[in-house]
Amino acid sequence: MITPVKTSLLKPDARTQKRNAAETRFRLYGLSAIGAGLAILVLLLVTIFNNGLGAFQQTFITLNVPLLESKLDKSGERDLEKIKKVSTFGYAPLMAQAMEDALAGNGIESDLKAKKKAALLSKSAAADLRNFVITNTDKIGETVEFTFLANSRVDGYLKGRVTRESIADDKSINADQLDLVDALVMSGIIEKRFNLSFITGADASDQRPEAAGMGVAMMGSFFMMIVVLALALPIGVAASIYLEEFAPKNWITDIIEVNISNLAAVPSIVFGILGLAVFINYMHLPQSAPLVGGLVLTLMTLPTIIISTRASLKSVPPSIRDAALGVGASKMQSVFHHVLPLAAPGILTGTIIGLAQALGETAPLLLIGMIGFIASNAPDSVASGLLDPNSAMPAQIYEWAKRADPAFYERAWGGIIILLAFLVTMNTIAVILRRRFERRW
Amino acid sequence: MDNIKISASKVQVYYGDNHAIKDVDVQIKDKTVTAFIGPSGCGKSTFLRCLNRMNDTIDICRVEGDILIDGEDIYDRRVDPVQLRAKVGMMFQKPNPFPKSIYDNVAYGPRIHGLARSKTDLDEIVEKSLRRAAIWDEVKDRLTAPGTGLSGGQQQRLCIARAVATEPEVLLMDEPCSALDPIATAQVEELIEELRQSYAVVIVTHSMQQAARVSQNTAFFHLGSLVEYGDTNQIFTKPSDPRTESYITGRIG
Amino acid sequence: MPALWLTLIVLALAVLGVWLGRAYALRSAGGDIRALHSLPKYYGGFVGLSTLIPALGVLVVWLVAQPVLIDRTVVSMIPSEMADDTGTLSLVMSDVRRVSNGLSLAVEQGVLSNIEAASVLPEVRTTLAGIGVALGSDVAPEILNAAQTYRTLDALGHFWRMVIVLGLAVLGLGAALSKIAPEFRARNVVEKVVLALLIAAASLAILSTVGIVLSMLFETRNFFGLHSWKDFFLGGKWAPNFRGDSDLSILPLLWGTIYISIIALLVSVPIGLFAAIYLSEYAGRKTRGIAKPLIEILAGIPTIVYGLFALLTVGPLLLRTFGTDGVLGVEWMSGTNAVLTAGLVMGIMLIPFVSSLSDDIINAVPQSMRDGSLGLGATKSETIRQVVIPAALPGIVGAILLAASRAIGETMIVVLGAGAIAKFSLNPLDAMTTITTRIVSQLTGDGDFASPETLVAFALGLTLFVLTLGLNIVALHIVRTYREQYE
Repeated sequence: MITPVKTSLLKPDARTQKRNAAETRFRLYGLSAIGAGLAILVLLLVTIFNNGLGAFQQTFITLNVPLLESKLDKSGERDLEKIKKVSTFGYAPLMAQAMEDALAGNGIESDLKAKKKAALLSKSAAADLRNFVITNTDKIGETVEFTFLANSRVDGYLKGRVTRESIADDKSINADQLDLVDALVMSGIIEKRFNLSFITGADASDQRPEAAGMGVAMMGSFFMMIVVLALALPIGVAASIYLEEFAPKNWITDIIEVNISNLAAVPSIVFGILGLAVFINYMHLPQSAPLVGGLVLTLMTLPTIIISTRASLKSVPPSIRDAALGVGASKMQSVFHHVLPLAAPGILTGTIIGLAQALGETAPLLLIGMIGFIASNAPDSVASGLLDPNSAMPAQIYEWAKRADPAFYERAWGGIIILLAFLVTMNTIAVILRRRFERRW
Repeated sequence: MDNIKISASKVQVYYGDNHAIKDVDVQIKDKTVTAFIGPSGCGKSTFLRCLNRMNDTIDICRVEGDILIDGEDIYDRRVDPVQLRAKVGMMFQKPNPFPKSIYDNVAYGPRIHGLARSKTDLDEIVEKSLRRAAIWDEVKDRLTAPGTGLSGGQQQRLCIARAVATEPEVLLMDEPCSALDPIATAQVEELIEELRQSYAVVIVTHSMQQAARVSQNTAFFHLGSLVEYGDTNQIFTKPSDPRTESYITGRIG
Repeated sequence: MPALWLTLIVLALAVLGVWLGRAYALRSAGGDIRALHSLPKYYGGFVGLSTLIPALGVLVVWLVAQPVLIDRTVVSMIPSEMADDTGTLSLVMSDVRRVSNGLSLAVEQGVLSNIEAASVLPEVRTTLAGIGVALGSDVAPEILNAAQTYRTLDALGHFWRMVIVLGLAVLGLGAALSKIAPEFRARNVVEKVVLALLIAAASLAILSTVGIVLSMLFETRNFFGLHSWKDFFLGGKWAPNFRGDSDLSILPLLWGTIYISIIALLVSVPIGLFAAIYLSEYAGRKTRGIAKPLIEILAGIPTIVYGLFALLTVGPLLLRTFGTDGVLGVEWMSGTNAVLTAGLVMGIMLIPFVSSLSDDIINAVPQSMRDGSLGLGATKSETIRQVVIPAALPGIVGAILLAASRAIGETMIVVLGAGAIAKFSLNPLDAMTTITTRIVSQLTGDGDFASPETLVAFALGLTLFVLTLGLNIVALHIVRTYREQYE
């Protein structure tokens, strides 16, 4: 007997077609979720680079400045103390003169007052020139070619941020000055080029966005990372070894484990409150010091390091431990001689990832006072690096983001590029380490 | 042989570069239990999974040759595996009830295939299926309890109920008793005998005794090839191939 | 930094101890290593640890205890009418400390002699101003007196600290050396000490939790001493006023926090979940290998970047759409800071968090479930919707709770994107504020540390901690039970 064929498989019925349509739709939802995630990533990166790359370029004005002895060193003794007595105001006429000379030399005519012409220079230009003279007293009396930072409005004009329309209500610059800028650009006196001091320099006041740099904040971050590495790595590894290799299974160990997994999820700002209350208010450690920042970040990074270290200890097969114990090594020796070296690449990878997290953390640093513009010079020793007030990269970015002048926004985005460059490097090292030393048992 | 349900010819299966099934030809009769036996890794489960295209879910798997059910090539481009699987139900080694109530487990198939027009309809299908799987009396008072709470044997019978609820024409069973104790195994075997009245049943088994007990036809697989296929009694008493003999006498496998 | 020097000296002694211990052990065995119970380095280690641990242990305890003890003595010297409540007391104490430090500095610079510094000084303020220590007001004789006691006690404490720490180090060194003999089981002792150190490191995790709770609990108690707890928990207004008499209620902040978190979850949960479903159920190995790490890059981006993105990109974009002169021509939005700005960006931040957690959880659903459903003729999406997701539901709920806890505790995005106005509003285009932003603003202002306006930050912090901790414990418990079910 042949069973009558109810339906042919070759012709999908209406219901199946409907179900398959639903299937396609569902799949599409998934695909568009992935697409949305990737699109956001691209949007984020494009935004960062679009807005931030400008910070690595800066507008400079090159002038020949006559360092008149009559203004800078009336006595002619080249006595440093006396030269230092000449304030930045004493340098302003020299710069104004240099500007006039440059205009005359290139046949540029302008009805602007000398002061307005000099306003194209950065507000820190005079101080820069003064520093140059103080370190090179032998140049007094000569005419030197000096490259000044241009005012941030001029810089913005060259970068397209400042336009003739946007300056309608701007007191710091007017259309005539922009005409002058155009002329100076034509004659090559004003030019835009790579700005190393954004990477190496210190933060600058609200008035001088063109002079602000990330360098000192980078040092602050660097010293914090040293503290984190020096404390979190040994303590984290020690804690993991105990929990993974020695701890008996009892309620105390359970509490520690639950504690660690919960600590990893405590909001970072809570660690900031802890740092403020314990390290600063109770122990009276110096405020804004990278040491304190490092301690706070250590507590924050510790759970991350412990979790990854335990995972890599766990991945070493028990047979290795048995082998060591079998030849008469003590438990401690089997762990330190065999298990730990085998787990080392994993521990290192976890540590680098933990450090990368700590490097990007901002909130707790705000509470312990590590905000921008508190250190004007790079620290000159380890002690000053650890104890003198400083900022950190993410806190510096935050500081710039809060300032009123949009010129700082470009620097904030630029700062993010630098920060991301560090993070990408660290994560790449972690990935390479993992690939290279990954062991399958 | 006029009641052939499934007819396979020159079937080849590849997992990546690995040639897992070589040149298998087999004719499976309707209203019969056909057993696939053979040592582990011989390809019997793989071949079984070809019969309702479960291998489609494995990316690297490739099937060649013809498998016809009721004269229709199931690997034809126009065939929807979803529709095929409704017609060719499958059960697995480990009982795998969904984490839902007993009722919802059985009602799952009818619901997705739209077999019930009303709630009463669905209730009827569920009861009928559970009765067919000989588990109705054990669970009729707790249909809303989770299916995962049953014992292993009950779970497997629940899975049978779940499979028959979609009104399949063929039932594929992949070692359905390997995770069960002897009593549960006996119950399931008894059930298979009854199911034969309405379906073509194909069962993969490790146990030669089981094959001998439940099947009318037996196919012996070895290293990806079909060595011998025929009447169960004949295979177990007068095997024609020396490899089959070695296997059933316990020298290989 | 005397404590640093002390540590270095003790360390040097320990190094010496290691070397001596080795040498002693070898000599006691007559140069034959086999005669020793343990390897020579263990004897060295034993001596080194005996030098180091008691001395440094006492140093740490001393560092913690001395300020407390001295403060207690000095506080009892301050007349009660000058410090009628805890707030003013801590102000007075900071004055005392400043004067005391000023006196020390003056002695160091030779402006005052040691005896002068301890005598009655009429012109303290001018003297100290001369060396760069500025005092807010003239120094009352009681405060000067207290400061001098403070300074004396401090110096005394430092002296004894040095004596005891160095004494213990030398003593430990000597005692350990005297114990060295070939049959002495140095390895066992050293290993016990190392084990104790390992345990101490593991306990640090507990210690930092205790530190978090205690530090906030203490200041929160001070806060509730100054401000009614009823207003904090049940009031309806947040209006800090640094002249006092502020309304400090957590409820409007909590509303802002929850509203923003809800928006963040509305963005991240569907996208994250669908991404996880696609990656684990549909994507081929290649697609998965590329898309998964790319999406996880979003998780590695620091929150300050998202904050900036909210402030400078998303906020202005929304304003151009919904604001005055916007594309839609509606005037629903008045500034770039808004609940929606912060919520959207926070949602983006949480996408990889939700997707990688859900991915793990979906992968934990046994393949046999999927086979069972596919074997019955279900399509993939039917299998996912009706079998896989219900099976994974507890785990997914846990993951969403973890994401919620992240959202509630997130700071930088809301600081830059949400605004500073505390209010109850349902309009997502309004600026609102959250618990974390208020913690930052109350603690980074210039307010003094004794005022309720500053102390409220600790109460907020504690509430935040309890809130997130509760969510985490529940979520981790759910996820763990879920995993055990399929193991």
